[in-house]
Amino acid sequence: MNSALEVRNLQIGYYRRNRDFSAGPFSFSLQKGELAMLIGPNGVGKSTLLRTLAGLTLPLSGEITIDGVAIGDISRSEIARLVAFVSTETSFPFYLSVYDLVSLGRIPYQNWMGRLSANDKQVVEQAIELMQIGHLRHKSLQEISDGERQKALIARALAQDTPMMLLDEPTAFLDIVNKHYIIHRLIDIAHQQRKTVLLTTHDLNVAIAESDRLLVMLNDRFLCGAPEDLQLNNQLNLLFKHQFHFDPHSGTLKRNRDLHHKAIVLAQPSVSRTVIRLTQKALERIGYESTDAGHYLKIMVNKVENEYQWNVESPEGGELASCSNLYTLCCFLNDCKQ
Amino acid sequence: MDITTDRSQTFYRRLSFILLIILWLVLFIIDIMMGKVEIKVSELWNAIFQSSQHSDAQLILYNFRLPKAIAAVLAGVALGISGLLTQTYFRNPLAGPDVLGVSAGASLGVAVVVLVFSQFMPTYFFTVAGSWTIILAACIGAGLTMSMITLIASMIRDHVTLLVLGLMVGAAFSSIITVIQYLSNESLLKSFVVWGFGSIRHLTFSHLAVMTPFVILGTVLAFLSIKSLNALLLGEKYAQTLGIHVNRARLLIFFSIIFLAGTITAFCGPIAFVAITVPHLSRMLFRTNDHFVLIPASLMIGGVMVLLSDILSQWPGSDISLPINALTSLMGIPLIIAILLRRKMG
Repeated sequence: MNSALEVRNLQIGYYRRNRDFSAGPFSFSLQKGELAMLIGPNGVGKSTLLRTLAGLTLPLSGEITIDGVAIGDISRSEIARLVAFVSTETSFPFYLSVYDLVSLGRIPYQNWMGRLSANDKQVVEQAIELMQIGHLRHKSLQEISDGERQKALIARALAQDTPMMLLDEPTAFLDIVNKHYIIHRLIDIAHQQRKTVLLTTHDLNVAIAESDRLLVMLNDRFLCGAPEDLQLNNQLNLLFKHQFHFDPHSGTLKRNRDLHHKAIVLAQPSVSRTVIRLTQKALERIGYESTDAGHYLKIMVNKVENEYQWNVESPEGGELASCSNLYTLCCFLNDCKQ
Repeated sequence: MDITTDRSQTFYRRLSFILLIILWLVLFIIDIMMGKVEIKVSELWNAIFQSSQHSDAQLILYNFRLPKAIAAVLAGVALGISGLLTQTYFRNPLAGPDVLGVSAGASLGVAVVVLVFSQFMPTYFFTVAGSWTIILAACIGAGLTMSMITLIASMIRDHVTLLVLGLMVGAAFSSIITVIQYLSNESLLKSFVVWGFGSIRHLTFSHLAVMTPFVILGTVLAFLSIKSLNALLLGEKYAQTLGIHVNRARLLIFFSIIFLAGTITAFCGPIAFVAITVPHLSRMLFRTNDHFVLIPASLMIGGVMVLLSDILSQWPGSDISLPINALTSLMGIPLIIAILLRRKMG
């Protein structure tokens, strides 16, 4: 395997008045055609790591090799042909059309006059096409939506035509459709164009579901692996400081808490498993653990003429209530606690 | 971009530049002919092409009108480019060397050296060395102010606060100049007047000979910065990841601005609202933020605006000649207000 990015004993940080910061050392490598996501709590240094890899901040020590070239040894314009960077900055004070923005990605290949060659124009076109923003070409960055602007910014990075792309929270502030569109586009780009893409995110669900490699950055350690590997070793729970845990079953985060009440959920065969799971989830939310047997409240899920019905029976067998939806069931069970 | 729009855009841009050049020449000729003594077309023709006759028209033309018109062009070119560069440098569409107090800093530099030198050598400023001293003082004054504003801009992210601070710095410098003028003796006051605070009408070819190299130098630095200026539109971080040496680039732009704004302030005095207005007119006309287009466009439009102001300031048939500063302000301010309102009202 040929590594696209090789990081060895990298110590990152900066010295500023009354605010020193350092993290590391980190060692990891990413392959060509791989999309990696970097997660970790706020302030742990995710952005600093990205900025260091982009050549914006000098490392305190250690070595970064991109495409076999140590970036400490080459000029800024050579780095610009190896790494493209998309920052969290999205406001531009001047009128700038989408096409102009994407063309700026060709700067590392231009002479002092900054003219686009025929080849430059072709690369710009490809980038615009890949992000499917051709219809926005002549629109100003101020008049398009947040999602469209993010696509344009990614197209600019694509036009830079680098083996490696770094993106700092590209899906922050985006709605769910745009978020998934952008992640899927980046995955396609990584896989099809054989680029290495590294992005930071706070969305654990997306990171676990979609990344080829998951990098977890914590104050005292750094993990790197396939998201499933990290789940197998229970390492993901290190992220949550005993407040949550990751439930591999449901693929969601759950609050760590003791469930003081118990109930038995039974169902007629005609009731689907989804309904049972939703019922159990609702019970858990209000503090009931569902069990199979014992001297507890019984909840029978029935299906009567395509309508669901939840009947609550006392441990002794007497019917206490009949609810037509989960909300009334929850209200009733909350009352039972007292 | 498909090929047809690409071509029509190139055509539109070329046509605009040709029209601007024609407008430039026409205004230049009108500016030469107009004044207290009107020069007719035939007299102009004779003065230029029959140099053997020494007519009054020829005398006026070569001693007054031509230097004045050339100074108007130089001032327009320099202010147009320096305004464009200041706006990109501070990433603030309402910035300009006048708005941020850089021009006032240049004036203060001049006022201080005039104060010092005229105590000992009252005639110093009539010499060529005097001209060089003035320009140097203006550039140092502009440079110190630019450094200060750059420092403030690095600490304050808010655009409007920066503008307010710049205006206050400018007002403070102007007040200091007023105090210096009040405290100075008669010969010193005369020096101020000779250096024409606020006028292009006292300039001679010997002044132009000192001004021109500085304006050319500033313009060349601006052209050399085209690529960095375009990258800086995205901010320093992006510019850096695009391979631009940001500090080096900003230093070049910095010197371009102080040479252009400093020189013009030193010799022509404050000419307000050209630097802030011209870049906006250029962006409107050429519908781009590419400095490869905007620098020549600002250069042309700046020349047009100052020539036009000078023509209007001495309307034919009237003996009054208004300060050029008032005319440029009256032209620029409505446009800036319109831009502000459009931004705020969406």
